[in-house]
Amino acid sequence: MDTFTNLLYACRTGDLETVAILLDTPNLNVNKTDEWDYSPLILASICGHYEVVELLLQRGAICDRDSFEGERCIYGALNYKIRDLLLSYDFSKKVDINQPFASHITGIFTNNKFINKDLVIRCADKTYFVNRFLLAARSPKMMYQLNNEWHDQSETQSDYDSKSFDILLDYIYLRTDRLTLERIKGAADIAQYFELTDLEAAVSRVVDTWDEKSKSKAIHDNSFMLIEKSRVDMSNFLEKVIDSRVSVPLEFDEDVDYEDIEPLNYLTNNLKSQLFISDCIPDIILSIVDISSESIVYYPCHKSMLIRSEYFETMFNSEIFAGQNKVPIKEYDGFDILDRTIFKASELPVISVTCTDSRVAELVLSYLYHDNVDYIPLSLTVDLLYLSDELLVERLKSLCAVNITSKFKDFSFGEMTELKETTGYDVFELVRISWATRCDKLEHFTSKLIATNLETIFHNPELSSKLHDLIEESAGRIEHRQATDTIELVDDIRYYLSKKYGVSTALLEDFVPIGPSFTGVFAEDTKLRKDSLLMYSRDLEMIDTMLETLDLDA
Amino acid sequence: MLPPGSRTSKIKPPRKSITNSSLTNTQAFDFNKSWDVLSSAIVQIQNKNVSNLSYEQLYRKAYTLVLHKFGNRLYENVEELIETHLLRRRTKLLSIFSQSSSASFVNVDEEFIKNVLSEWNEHLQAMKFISDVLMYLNRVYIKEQNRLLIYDLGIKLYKDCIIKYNDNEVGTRIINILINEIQKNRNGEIISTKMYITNIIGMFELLHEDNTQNDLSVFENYYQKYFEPVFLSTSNDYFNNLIEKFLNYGSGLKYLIETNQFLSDEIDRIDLYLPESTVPKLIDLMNNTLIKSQLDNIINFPSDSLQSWIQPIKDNIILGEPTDSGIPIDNDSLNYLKILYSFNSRIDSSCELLKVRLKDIIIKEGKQFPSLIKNLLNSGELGERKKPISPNSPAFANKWIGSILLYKAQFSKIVKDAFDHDYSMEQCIISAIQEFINLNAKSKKNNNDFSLLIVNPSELLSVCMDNHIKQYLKPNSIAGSRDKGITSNDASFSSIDEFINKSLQFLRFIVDKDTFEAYYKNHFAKRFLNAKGFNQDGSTGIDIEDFVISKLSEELGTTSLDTIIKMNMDIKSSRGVTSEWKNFLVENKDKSIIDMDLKICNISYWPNSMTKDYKKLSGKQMNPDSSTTFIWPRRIKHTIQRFESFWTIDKKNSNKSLYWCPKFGSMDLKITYPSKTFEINLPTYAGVVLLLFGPSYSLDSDSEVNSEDFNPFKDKKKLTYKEIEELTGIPEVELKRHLQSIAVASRSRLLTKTPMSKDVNDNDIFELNEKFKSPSTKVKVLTVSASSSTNTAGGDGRLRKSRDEELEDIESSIAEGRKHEINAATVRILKSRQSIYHNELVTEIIRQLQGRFLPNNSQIKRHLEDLIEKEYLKRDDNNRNLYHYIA
Repeated sequence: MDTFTNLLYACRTGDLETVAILLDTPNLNVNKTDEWDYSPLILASICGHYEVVELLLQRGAICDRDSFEGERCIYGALNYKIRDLLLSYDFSKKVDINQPFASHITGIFTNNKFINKDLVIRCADKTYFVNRFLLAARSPKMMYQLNNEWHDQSETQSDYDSKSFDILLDYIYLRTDRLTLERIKGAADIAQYFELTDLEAAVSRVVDTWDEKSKSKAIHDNSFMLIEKSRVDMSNFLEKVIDSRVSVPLEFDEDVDYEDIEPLNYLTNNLKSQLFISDCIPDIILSIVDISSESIVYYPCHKSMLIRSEYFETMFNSEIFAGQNKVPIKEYDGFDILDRTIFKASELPVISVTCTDSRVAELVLSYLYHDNVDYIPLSLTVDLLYLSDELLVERLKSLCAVNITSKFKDFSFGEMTELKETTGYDVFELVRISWATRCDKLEHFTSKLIATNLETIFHNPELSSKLHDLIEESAGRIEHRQATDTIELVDDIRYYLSKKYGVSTALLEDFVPIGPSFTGVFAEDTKLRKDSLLMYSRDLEMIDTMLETLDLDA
Repeated sequence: MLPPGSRTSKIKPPRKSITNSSLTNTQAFDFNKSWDVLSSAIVQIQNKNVSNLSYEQLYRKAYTLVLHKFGNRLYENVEELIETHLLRRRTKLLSIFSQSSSASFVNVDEEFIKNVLSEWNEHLQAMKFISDVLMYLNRVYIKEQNRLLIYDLGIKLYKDCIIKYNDNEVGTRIINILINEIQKNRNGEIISTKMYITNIIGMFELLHEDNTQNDLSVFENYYQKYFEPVFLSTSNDYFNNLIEKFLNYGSGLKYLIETNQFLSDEIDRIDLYLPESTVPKLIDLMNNTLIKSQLDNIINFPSDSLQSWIQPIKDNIILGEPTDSGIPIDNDSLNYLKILYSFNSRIDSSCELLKVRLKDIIIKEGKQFPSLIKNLLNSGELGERKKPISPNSPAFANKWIGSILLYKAQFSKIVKDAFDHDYSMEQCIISAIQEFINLNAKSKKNNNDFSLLIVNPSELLSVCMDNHIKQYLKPNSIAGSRDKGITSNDASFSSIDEFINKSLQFLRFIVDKDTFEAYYKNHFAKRFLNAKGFNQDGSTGIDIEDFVISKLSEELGTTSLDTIIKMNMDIKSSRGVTSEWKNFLVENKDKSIIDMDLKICNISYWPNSMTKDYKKLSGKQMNPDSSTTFIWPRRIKHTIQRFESFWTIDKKNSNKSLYWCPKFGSMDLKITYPSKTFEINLPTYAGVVLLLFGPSYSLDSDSEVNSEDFNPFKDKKKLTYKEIEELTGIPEVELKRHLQSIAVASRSRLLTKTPMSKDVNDNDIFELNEKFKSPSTKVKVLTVSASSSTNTAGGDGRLRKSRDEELEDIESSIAEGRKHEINAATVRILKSRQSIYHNELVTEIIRQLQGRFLPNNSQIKRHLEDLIEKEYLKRDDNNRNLYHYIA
């Protein structure tokens, strides 16, 4: 079964946990429908699973009353509570999966906190301040101009009027909400001139409209297509960035701490110039130490893209950074831009991140440049998780967690062993990693894995001792622990045990079969339940034994 | 960590330790190595030396420390470091005071707060940098442990280590300096520290007090906890001193102006440097101290206050030449009233105090109008009258009503310009005006101030309207009257309309509408009966009486004007009868009949005062008790008889009886004096007297006499008063009055009297005045008015009595009317309620009748007793306060 089918099934049954996990699957379109035109939201709504409906809506499921699916959702809602919830999310609150990316690109245009623009374009009646690298990324024609006539200018004239140029900038900076039907029609010439095939397509899509419905469809399609194309462009542009990287081998006579390597010291002026003049038009160099190849890798990057990480954003806005990395500035009409005509390679700032593998660095760049991290090798996942945490990129962290959890679903002992082989870390180490990175998803996954295999672990001295240490450490996570405080790990394990044996903790205490009425089929059922209860109690005893030896009470 | 099979790198990867059991590793990790780097960076930041710091490096140090669970230690070390730094800075800040003796600072205080501020700004800047560097600590450790963010920690430490350290030492100094500067500014000094004050207060507001209570919603800051209370209490002291200072000026006006100026200055000041949350508190404080405690005092100030601004209005109106716009109250007073109003509305949106005081003053002022007007008119400035003017004369009425309307207009202007169009103020003023206008009878007895002239508004309005209507009815030649009250001589429609509107406006002030109706009725009747012939409509072609009645009906309702409407119908039907009668005469060619206009009134509608003696006066019925039965001249008697038979033709009026009233009406006589022949119009009584002197005339003679046969002037007929009285049978009072008209009044001295004196005595001899002259051939004899003869020589009390009788009649008819209305209302109420308690009943009666008049309790009680007697209602057997309706 594929993910979407699983999602539909979970929505039917109301399995909130599964739905939550599945929704984290990369590139999953939550608004898709199956062969009977059911969407996950419709199913959850019809079957009356309030929490599931809520979760779906929060994660971008669209309920638009004007559409067939939306109407089906609302009229099929099992109860008023769900219906009201759907209405409250109706249309206006719909979430576009492209939105974070698009709004970031738009934000580049409006950002004035640190200087990011490096070109002035003057039209007859309006002046524009733009980012060279974005123009280069979006249009080969502009890339050409940037490398030729515009190369030695900080200010250039355009033959186009501001009407066309406004549209061009809305296109580049993805201000799709401003691209109304009327305006986009005026873009035909400029789109052709700069060889913007998707903008041309958008124009023709608009021209072909004849009624309200097709118009609104055209607008919607345009917005979607233009953003998609932009992502593809940025992805291609990032390829260029990565291709332009330079690598400097390191020669050490003795062991050296990673922290003690200062990448700045290994970049020769020649190499720096090489990065500086690359097609990528960088304004910053990102460096990492690749341990396996014992070399430092330098990428010609762009502050405007890196600031999708809050770490970089704070850094670039901080006066400590700005004071250290002075760049030539020129003022036009009261607006400061980076003056590339006198910008020297030596002035290009070099920064580094804690990353030991260039592949991991490139994954992070992929996320920052175009939001698209298709494939994360399991062996790199933990490194990526750490790096995302250091750079404060929450979403990438959860992508990492899902990358692990979605690949191990059986919770068998075999999988537990496999985990170490593929990720390089065993389940106990992963628990610690989840604590260090505050990755709940991973923490729950690992606890469940331990709970499910508790018997095996308990009887294996090595594993048992590791669990032992882990429980002790979990207890130590609460400062000044009181006797009544619980140990989170133990609680989690107990919880997953109860799930495993299908017992509710509340029922446990007073489960007594009620006399003669429990016969026949019921008796059979009761026996099954009794068995699982027995096994559950036995597993719980194991935990208690461990706690006793640790002299902990929880 | 490394993929299996890769060659061993010489680079030791980071973080590896974390994934193993960390208990042992934590100790192995060298905290101090990282902390040394961070702490020296923080010190550099605090010394504003960031040029050689690496953001990445510092971030990574902090990151690694947090990752290795040193968050708490890092946090506490940072706290300690900042603390030490700030305590050092504090000592430096305070050192300025110890050096001050030697230092060259002009102003130590100013320098001090300047330094505090610059320290604050530098500290904030440093904290921003530190916070940026420790972002991972903020995000991870602090968030999990729910501690103060680094930046906020910096602010808290600034508060604890600089401002509040050592028992709030620095803070107290700053507060004292600030308060001192603000006081200086209040005293009008120009201070150079305004900018610092604003900034310091901004700083105080950022210093949040530790929230000791669990209530998270209350976050007090340093400003609120320390500065504001001191500020408010010193302000309070300041305001109290200010009150004393302002009061010492000994002028309400001065207090008002000074305070107003201070208020607006103070608001400018607080806008400048105080946060919005304090503004209402300070305004409250100012309102309470400067205004609330003093307002009544100011309003009642002996000089230069409310009374002194209001008084000129009245004086100006009385003395000035009243116009529609009036003499405006001067702009200064208007402005003062405006301030006063704004003061009162600051502390009480409904301005009750001002209303009470204003009302008192208006009533006090308004009461003086009648006597002032009387004095004015008597002083002869306006009129040429030699005689004292009576308070019910048209001149007085015009002036009084006109003045009051002007007075009201002035107050409307005040409400508009000074009282912010406050409708409730206007209501208050109207009720004050109403109160002094209706001051009359009720308070007459209680009012000990005999200097006050009490007037009856209903009567005066009626007099005024009567006067105006008469002016309108006069032929145009009379134009040029001196009365300029509210009347106008331009009898155009718009002027009538304006006059009526003004009258109605005044009528609305009158509480006892029924009294006005009674007076109006009386005047209406007199106008009709005393007029020569029928009043011809003026140039506008509308019947003014009709017009006024319709306007009054709109105001008072047709039911209450019922009798007047019926009287008006009598007039119309009289007009009809007259023309029918004249047609009849033309057909019959009867020359013995005297030309006659008829005024036939239905006795039950017309005022009792005029009709009471109708039978006696008609001369038709011989009254044995009376010596004074009127004797009609024979020719007139003939005409009367002919008319009576005409009137009863076809039995159309068989159900009515007709009486003739010589008291009213007039005659036209043509008399040939030696000088000239005159056409003379004179009252019936006077005419009858004059006929005695007529050519070959005997009252008993039936024969036709040719006037040419006999010249009365040769005859020199002489008659004594007694003889005239016997020959005519005119009552003494009337006769003497008319004899005065035709024998004493200089313009119409048709007879001579011997001796020549003003008063008429029994033995006076009358004869035709041979020397009578008049500029025109047409002469109208005006009857000497009852009122003016009242004042003559004071000897004759009977004329006065006649006027008093008339007034008594009016009063009694009002009382009668009220009795009916009270009874009707009582029965109406009981019929619907069946049972009702006394108090409730009285309230309800008053409510129902207040549009007409204000019944008093004793009246109501009396009528209730009547109704109980007549068995319309009865008292409850057990509860004497409860009434039941008897069906």
